[in-house]
Amino acid sequence: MIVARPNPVSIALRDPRALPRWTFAEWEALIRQARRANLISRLAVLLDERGLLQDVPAAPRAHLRAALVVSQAQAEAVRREVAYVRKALARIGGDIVLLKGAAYLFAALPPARGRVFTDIDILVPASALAEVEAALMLHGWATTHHDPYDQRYYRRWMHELPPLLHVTRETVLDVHHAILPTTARLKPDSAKLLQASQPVAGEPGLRVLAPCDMVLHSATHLFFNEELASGLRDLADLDSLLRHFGGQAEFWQQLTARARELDLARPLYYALRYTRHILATPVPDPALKAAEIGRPPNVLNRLMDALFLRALQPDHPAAADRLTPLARRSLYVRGHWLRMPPLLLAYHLTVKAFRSEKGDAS
Amino acid sequence: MVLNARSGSTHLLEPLAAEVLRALAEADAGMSIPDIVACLRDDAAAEEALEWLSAVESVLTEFQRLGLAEPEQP
Amino acid sequence: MIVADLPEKELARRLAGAGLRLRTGPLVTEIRSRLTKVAEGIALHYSDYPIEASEDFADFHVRLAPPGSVRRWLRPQVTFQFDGAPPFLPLPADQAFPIMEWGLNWCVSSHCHQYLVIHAAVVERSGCALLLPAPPGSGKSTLCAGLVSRGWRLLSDELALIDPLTANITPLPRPISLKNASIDVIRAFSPDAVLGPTVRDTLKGSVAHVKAPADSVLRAAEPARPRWIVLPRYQAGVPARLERLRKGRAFMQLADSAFNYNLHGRNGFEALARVIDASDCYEFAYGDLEEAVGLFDRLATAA
Repeated sequence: MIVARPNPVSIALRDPRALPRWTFAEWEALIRQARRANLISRLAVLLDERGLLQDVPAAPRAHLRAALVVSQAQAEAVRREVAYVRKALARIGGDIVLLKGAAYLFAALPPARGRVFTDIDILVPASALAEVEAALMLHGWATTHHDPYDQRYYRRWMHELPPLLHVTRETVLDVHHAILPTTARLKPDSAKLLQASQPVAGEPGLRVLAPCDMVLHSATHLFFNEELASGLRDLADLDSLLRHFGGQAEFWQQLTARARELDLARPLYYALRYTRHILATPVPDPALKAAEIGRPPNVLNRLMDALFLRALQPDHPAAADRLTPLARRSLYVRGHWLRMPPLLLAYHLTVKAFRSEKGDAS
Repeated sequence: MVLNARSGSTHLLEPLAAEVLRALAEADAGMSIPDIVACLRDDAAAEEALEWLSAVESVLTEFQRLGLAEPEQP
Repeated sequence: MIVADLPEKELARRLAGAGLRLRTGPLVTEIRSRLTKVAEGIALHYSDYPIEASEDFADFHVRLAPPGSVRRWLRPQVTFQFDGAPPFLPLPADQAFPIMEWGLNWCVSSHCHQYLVIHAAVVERSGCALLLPAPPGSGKSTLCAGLVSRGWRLLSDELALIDPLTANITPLPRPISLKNASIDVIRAFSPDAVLGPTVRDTLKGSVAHVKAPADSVLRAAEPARPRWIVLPRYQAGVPARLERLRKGRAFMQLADSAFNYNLHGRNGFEALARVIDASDCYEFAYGDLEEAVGLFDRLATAA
């Protein structure tokens, strides 16, 4: 049993129709937190699509209108940037698989509407990585994280190159070759993702992940990769994808089967659990049940609830408690610690094992 | 006691640190801080487990300094 | 209720506690601070401005407070916080009021994309708005303060809010900020003008603010139609001269001076075109403020 602390942004996303009746104080809290959660444009679009924007009181409505201006501009910027990327990679041939925001935009999926885009993310086969990087650098993208230690980390462990910054346009491009670091305990096969990818209508050379894979990638990205400052925004993307694809026949069965196939049962479990509780996503009971194979052992499950329900709040003081900073820090991917492979351990515990001392632990 | 064969230095670890290191050693891939806490305190209530997070975090920071473990991301 | 209706102690109490909801033009900002310089600055410059109730909607929530680190005891510092997060680095505490003013400008230029926001001064006479876009150091603020002290209505000294649909300018009257030599120029030019204390050693040099006339604040709900666009340039000893500016160049200048032109895309292009179409565009050089103001007064009379 989990109890999600309601925050105005989740409540608003769940049911935008009630919003025009909210008081000024409620609107104020909503605008402040939605802005921090990068969801104010999404809110504006939801209201606009339902023809409710003009019913919102004038003062908060101005902020929503401002947010619409921003998201419209950003969508246009993403289209332009993807065009540049295509041009840069044209000579290599092969298709480019778009991920995340750019994918939602080009595939005309609901999470694209009202989205605040930051970087462009693409997925390429690991074998093509060197060639892709060279072509991009030729066209003006430069690597970041110049510290040799950081470079080593990215290229040795990570599933993506260090972010590429374009020198004149100052846009950021993330080139992925997998969806999780090589050291992660989950091992989804990127070749399968690429194989199942689908073309984008009207855009030869561009592809997006198959619907199930798109959901699984979003879930993996949110629950295993990301610093959770935009956790609620990513959760809203997931909610939007699930609502959109959920109406398609066989989707839920395919989703859980594919999760097992790709070793992504854990992220799927979290995705269905938290979207349902926080955003009231209509996940069918059989799907939730089937996803239980991804459920972590009890204490970890309860611990993750306590962590995620804090970290998936908007990053705003009004939505935080004493333990929120610790929760965010613990979930940030830096928390994945490796043993250094060549380390030889010869250890002899001169004190009693921690487990047997737990009665003394304060 | 731990001997770091790479650096040649020897460290005396406190019980918590020893258990954290053992958890890392037994896993064959990266473990997140919540993973480690759950491993160490498999019968704890969630709120109590939350309190252990900072302790484990401090241990790992110290390990990084000593060269006994490193984080997956820079 | 306006700020002047609050006794000094009550003003300080509200600022230190739940906050003061100050209306400036179309915007309400909840301001919190325990710093005396902030309370004094508000009491002086914002005495004519309306205070809104806590049940009314506030657009922005800002705070001026020492940063959370140890330095607060060594050399006192102040940060501007927007909804709890500071967009700028801390600065010396005696600069608290200028920092508040810059912070309030930042709130508008970073968020008010329902407008096309141009970095320009705007004043009005006879129903016609004079827009003065200019980079810092061009003498725009001095000219603005000069005109305002001689009866022109102040719409804004820094941020022109243009409605993208109508091309009208929405007033946002706030204290006029002056730098370095301009401070003495305005004191001499307009002995009746109310200036706050001069704050030295800021990133922009010495800074002081001129209080906006009460009439400008009272008429803050009255938009104005653009009529003249003038690029000022102060140069000592130069006689006042207005030179026609080609509309294409004026357009580019205005777009360059805009904070959010790119965000508005096509709508921004069309809105600026409407503004340019409606206006006579000039470049203006001047060396003497009296002469300059006289020239614009004649321009307004002839309009």
